[in-house]
Amino acid sequence: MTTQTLAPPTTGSFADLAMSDQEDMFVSLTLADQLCGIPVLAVRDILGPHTITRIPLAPPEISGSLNLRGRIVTTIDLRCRLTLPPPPPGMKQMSVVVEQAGELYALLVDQVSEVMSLPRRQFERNPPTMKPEWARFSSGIYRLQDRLLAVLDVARLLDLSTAIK
Amino acid sequence: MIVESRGERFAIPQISVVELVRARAGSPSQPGETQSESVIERINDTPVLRLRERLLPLVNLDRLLGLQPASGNAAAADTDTASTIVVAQVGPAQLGLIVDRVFDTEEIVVKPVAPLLRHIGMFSGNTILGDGSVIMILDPNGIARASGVADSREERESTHLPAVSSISADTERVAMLLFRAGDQGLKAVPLSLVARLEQLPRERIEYASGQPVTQYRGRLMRLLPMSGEIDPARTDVPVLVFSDHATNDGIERRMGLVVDEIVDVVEDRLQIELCHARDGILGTAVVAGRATDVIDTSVWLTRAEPGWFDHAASTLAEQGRRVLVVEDSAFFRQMIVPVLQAAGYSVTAVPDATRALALRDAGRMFDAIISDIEMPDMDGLSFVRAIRAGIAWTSLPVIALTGKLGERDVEIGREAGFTDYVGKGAREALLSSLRQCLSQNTDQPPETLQLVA
Repeated sequence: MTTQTLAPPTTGSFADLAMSDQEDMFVSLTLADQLCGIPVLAVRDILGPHTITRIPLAPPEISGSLNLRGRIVTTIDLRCRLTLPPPPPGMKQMSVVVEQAGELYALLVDQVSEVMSLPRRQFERNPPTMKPEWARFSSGIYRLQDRLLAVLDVARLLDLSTAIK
Repeated sequence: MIVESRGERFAIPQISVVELVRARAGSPSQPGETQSESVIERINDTPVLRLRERLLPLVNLDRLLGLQPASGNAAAADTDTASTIVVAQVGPAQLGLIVDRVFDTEEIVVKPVAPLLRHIGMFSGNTILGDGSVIMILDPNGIARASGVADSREERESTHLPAVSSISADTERVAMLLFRAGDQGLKAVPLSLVARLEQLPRERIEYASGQPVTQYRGRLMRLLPMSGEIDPARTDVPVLVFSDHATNDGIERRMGLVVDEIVDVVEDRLQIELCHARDGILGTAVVAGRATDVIDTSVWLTRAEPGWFDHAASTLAEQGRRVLVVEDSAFFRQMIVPVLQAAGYSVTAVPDATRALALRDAGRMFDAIISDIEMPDMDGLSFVRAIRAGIAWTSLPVIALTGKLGERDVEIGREAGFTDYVGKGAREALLSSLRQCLSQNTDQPPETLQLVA
């Protein structure tokens, strides 16, 4: 179980994406082999596999609660949220902890890789053909040298009323 | 009390547990059978238990919560295994919860459930156990509602109902702890203000300088019996532990309010209807259908620990100044209002900007406004713009209360018309900002004063 603290709490927003030369930092992660990124300013913590207490009657995207140094953190299964198949059995999923309205949420992902600094000129809007269940949660795409990185919109991921269907 | 059902653990508030009964499924008085165990019987498919000449309605916790069997054998726990029944008191009614196992009791720090889960209605909170695991706290009232004990709906149908019926639940609803102390009347305190509930054995109560104290988590904690004295006949007493971590001096203040009996935790609107400035009582509200005195926590805190609000020590400048608090979160309102009141302000709190503006249009006047920024419908920025564009409140200091304290956020806020910016939960910063705003305001020439009048 590894825990590392990344950025101190600051308000993360990247509203001014159009501004050219700047670079933005992302925590990169994978979900069913797709590379995704979450703005580093939104991230409070990265967690290794944790014991998650299931919550009966909760929506399916909520995989449960975990204890992060004495705080109870609601865990969202991003695979389920993005209508991906459940992880292969035995996979040790990690989570990215984000904060919204003073509440912590852990986003369950397959693997967290690294913090990347990406120039804004490599950023593009979602292709119009993107499946709606992804387009809803992706705020755009970065063209990396050999792969594409989808930027996840944390606020939308956490807003469970943004229904999957 | 910790119980297990289908391999998952839940907590049940000890105050609602009446007793535990061992029982197994089957029909009663089969030949050659000892009658030492109670038997779960069924009417159609509804389990009931004969308990002291009465039928006790039973609820299968696993079915109620839609738990999957730990093993593949779905019917096993239902028919063969002996189970334990937790008899819970729900208002005037009793209800038996069928669980697989009962563990020990544990001291619990009740934490509110995450906003994403509030609609479920079956949990009154969650907590972290001694072993570090997270556990959900069952709400016996929610279970009673869902299983029809509260309103005789059919169990099966209603297990799906709470999600629907409480989704629109008013944000105004506040979890309140009901208790008795001193007299027979019910008293209430917002649960979010209480750090812990303790059942304190008599021998742990000691006296220092004639005052009852207890050694609590490595430090001395003052005990304040609400009725004036601790009944010497009791072997243990229920204690409401309040704790507060002051921002400026880093000292954790604690106090134990000794009451006679903890009655229940209910969720209801906190609408104080009869206000009387009786000592330590804010007023009387109807809570869960019964007249209940809502205690003024700040009075009791200061009584136990005169220095409790020292960091909020009031000066003459604060006395009687009228402050309007606009905050959509009931939780933050409960945090802010007592602090301001303790500092000597006269506080009016409303849950949204529309109602605040309605007060303005009704001719109400305040000395300062504290407003949240992130609110549904009209947010704090639009609210302050509306104030600045109006007439009556134009020159009032308006303090923004927000989680967003970035440079740009502050800039935008100032442009919109906020006088100052304070982080949520920064109590000391709020009080000093308020002091500052008010003193600046009185320094101003009479035009402001005319408006105040």
